[in-house]
Amino acid sequence: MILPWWPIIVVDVVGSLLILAMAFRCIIMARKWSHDSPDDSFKHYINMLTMTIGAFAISRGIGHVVKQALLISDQAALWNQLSPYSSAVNTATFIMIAAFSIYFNRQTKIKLQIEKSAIDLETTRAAANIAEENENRLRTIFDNMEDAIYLINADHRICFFNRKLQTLLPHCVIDAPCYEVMMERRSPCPNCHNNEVIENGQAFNHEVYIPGMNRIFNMSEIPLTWIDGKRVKLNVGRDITEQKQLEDQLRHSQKMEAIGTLAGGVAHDINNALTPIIGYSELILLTLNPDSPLTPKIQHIRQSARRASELISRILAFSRRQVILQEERDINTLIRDTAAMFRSLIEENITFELLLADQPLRVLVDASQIEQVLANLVVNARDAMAQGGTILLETELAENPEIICQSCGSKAAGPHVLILVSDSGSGMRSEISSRIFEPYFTTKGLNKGTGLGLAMAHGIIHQHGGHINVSSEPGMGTTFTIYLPVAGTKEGESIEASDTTPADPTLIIGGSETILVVEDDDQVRRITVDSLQALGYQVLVADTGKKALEIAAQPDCRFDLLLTDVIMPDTNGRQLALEIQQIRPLIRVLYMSGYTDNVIAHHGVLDQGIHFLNKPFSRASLAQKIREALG
Amino acid sequence: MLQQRGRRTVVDFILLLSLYLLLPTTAMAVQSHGGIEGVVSHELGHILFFGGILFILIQGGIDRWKAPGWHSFQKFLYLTLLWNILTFIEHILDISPITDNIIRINGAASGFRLDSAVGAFYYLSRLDHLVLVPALYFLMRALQIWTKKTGDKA
Repeated sequence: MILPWWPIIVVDVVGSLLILAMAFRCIIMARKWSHDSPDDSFKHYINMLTMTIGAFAISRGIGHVVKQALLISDQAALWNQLSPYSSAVNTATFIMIAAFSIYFNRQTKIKLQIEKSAIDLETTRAAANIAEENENRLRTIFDNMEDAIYLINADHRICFFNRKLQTLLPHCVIDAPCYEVMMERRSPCPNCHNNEVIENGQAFNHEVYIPGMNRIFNMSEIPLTWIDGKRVKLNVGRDITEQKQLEDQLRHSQKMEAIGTLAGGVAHDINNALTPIIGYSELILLTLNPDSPLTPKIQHIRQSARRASELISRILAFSRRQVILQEERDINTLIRDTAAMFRSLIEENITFELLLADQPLRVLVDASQIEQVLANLVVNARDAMAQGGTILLETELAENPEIICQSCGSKAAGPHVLILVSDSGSGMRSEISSRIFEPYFTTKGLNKGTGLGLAMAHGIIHQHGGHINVSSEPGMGTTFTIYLPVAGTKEGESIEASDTTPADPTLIIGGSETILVVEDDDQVRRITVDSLQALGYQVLVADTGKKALEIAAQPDCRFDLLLTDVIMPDTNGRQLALEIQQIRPLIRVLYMSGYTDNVIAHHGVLDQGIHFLNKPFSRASLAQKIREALG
Repeated sequence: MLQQRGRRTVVDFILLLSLYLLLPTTAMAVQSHGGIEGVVSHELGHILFFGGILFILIQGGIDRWKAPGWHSFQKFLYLTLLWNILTFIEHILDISPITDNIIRINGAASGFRLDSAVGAFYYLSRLDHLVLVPALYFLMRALQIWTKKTGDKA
C-alpha cells in the first residue's frame, strides 16, 4: 500500500506556522502575566518555560518550513548543512526545559519551606508576644504587691523578681543563684526546698531570715509552671521583720513587767523587813559603848541589811520601779563633780579622759541615778580592759539625731544630750552585745559581777525617757551611748532643782512636833515610832488608814505631820493623805515606802511637791526628811 | 588598562568560538563528533525534556490541577509528553531501514510504502505537529486564563 507524502508536508508546514504563531503569542502573554509579579516562582517558571518552548517552536517551525522549501526546490544538500543547527537548537531547548522544570520544582520546595518557616516564625512570634503580654500582666500585678516575689528555677537561679524585691535587694539580677544573692552562700542551703517544690510539687511555708536583705520573711514556696512552660518555684515573701521586732519588744516588755511586778512585791516586803533591822541596829549602836564587843557585830548586821537594800534597789532600777526624783541639771557639771569617784573605780593602768561639750547640757534627771549608771558603765569598761587602756567619757548635744533604741526598738526625735562612754578594750561579738542589757546576763567570771549593772543602767535611762545603745566589735572596744532628752523640750517638764543632798549621818536634827505615823507593818511601825521618839518627836500611831482617819477626826487631837506608808491593805498613802487634808488642810505629809506602785509616782518619777522617804531608811535620813517635810 | 585587555580577550574568545560553531563541516572537531552522535544527543535532549515535564506533572500537586488554567496546563504537559515519545521513536526510525520505504522522485519524497506496523507508526509519527499544535494551544489557553485572572484581580 502506498501512502501519499503530501499530508506530511502540509501538516509539517501548517503545523510549523501555527506553533510559530502560538509560541509568539505565549511568549507575549507569559511576559505580561509574570511582569507584575517578579517574585512569583511559578510565574517565573512559566515565563521561562514559555520562552524556551517559544525558542524551540521558532527553531523547529522555521526549520521545518525552510526544510520543506529547500526540499521542494531541490536544495536537499543545503538543508543537510543547515539541519544540524536546527536540531542542536532544539536539543538545547529540551535541556533548558528539563533544567527549568527541575529548578522550578526545587525552587517551589524551597519556597514552601520558606513559607512554612515564615508561618512557624510568625506562630513562634505570636506565642512569644502572648508570653510577653502575660509576663507584663503578671509583672504589673506582682510589682504592685507589698510582698517580695521571685521565681527560682531548678538550677537555683532567679528567673523573675518583682519591684519590692528589687527595692530590698538592689544587687539582685536575673540568673543569679538565689543562695548567693539572698543567703550569702556559695552553695545551696542545706535545708533548701527547691527540689521538693519543683519536682514533687510540694508547697512550703516557713519563716526565714535572709542575710542579703537583713530581714525576716514569712516565705511561701509554691510550685508553678511559668509562662515559658518550665517548672519553677514561686517564692512569696512577706516581710515580718518589724512584726518580729514588735513581738520581741512586747516579749521584752512583758518580761520586764513580770520582773517589775515580782520585784515590786519582793521589794515591798523585804524593805519592810529590812527597815527594823537597820533602824534597831542604829538605835542599838547609839546606846552601845563604841568599845563594846557587840558594836562590830551590830555594825555587820546593819551593813548586811544595807547591802540587801541596795540589791532590792537595783532590781527596782532595772525593772523601772525605782522612785526617782528628777531635777534639771547640767550633765557636764554632774560628770565633772563625780569624775573623781569614777577615777577611783579604775586601775592605774587605765587612763580616764573627759571630753565634755562646751555649752551646758541641761537635762531632767535624778542625779544619783545617772551617777549610778555612769559608774556602772565605767566599771564595765574597766573590766573589759584587764591589760589597761583608755576610758573616754564624752558629752555632746545632738539637735535632731536619728535614735533607734536597740533594746526597745522605739524611735526618738528632737534635741538630745548624748553621753558616750567608750573603752579601748576587747570588745564584744554581736550575739553578746545584743543581750548585754538583760538582767543577770554577764560574761564576767563567778563572783565578779551580778549581771545587774547594765540592766539597771538600761532601766534607769529608760525611766528618764532616754535610750541607751551599745556598739562594739571584737578587738575594737565598746561604746555605750546614752540619749537623754534636753530639759524643757516637753511641756511642763522643767523642774527646779531641789536640795537632794544625801543625809549626813553626823548631822541628825530632831524636833518636838507631833507626827501621826500610819504603817501596817508592826516591825516597821515600831522602829519608826522608836526612832521618832528618840529624835524628840511626839508620835501618834495608826496601823490602818481607817484608824488614822479616826485619829485625825478627833477635835482635840493635834499633829503637824502625817508620816504614812504608801501601800496598805485598806487604802494607800496618797488617798489617806487627801482624806486627812480634807479635815486638816494644812497638814504636811511625808510618804515612806519600799515600793510605791505608781501611787505617788508615775513610772517611778515622783510627783511634784511630794516628800518621800525610801525604805529601808536610816535614822539620819528619817530625821532629815522629817525636817524637810515640816519645812 | 588591564581591565580593557581582559575584556578584549573575552571578546576575541567569543568570536573564535562563534566561527568554530558556525562552520561545523570544515571544523575538525565537528567532523569527529558527526554521524550518530547528533542523533544520540538529540534523543538525550528528548529524554531530559520528557523527564522535566514528567517531573512537573508528578511534583505539581493534585490540588493545583483543579484550579483555573491548571487543567489546560496539565493537558499541555500530557500532550508534550506524548509528542516527546512520538518524536523520540521517529528519530530512531529515521536512521532505520524503514526509511527505505519512502518513495522518492528526483530525490524528493512523494509517497510511503506501507508494509508493516512499524511503517504505519513511522508515517504517523511524521505527523507529530498534530500533537504539538494542540499542546501549544493548551499552553496558550492556560496563559490566557491566568492573564485574565490577574487582570481581574488588578
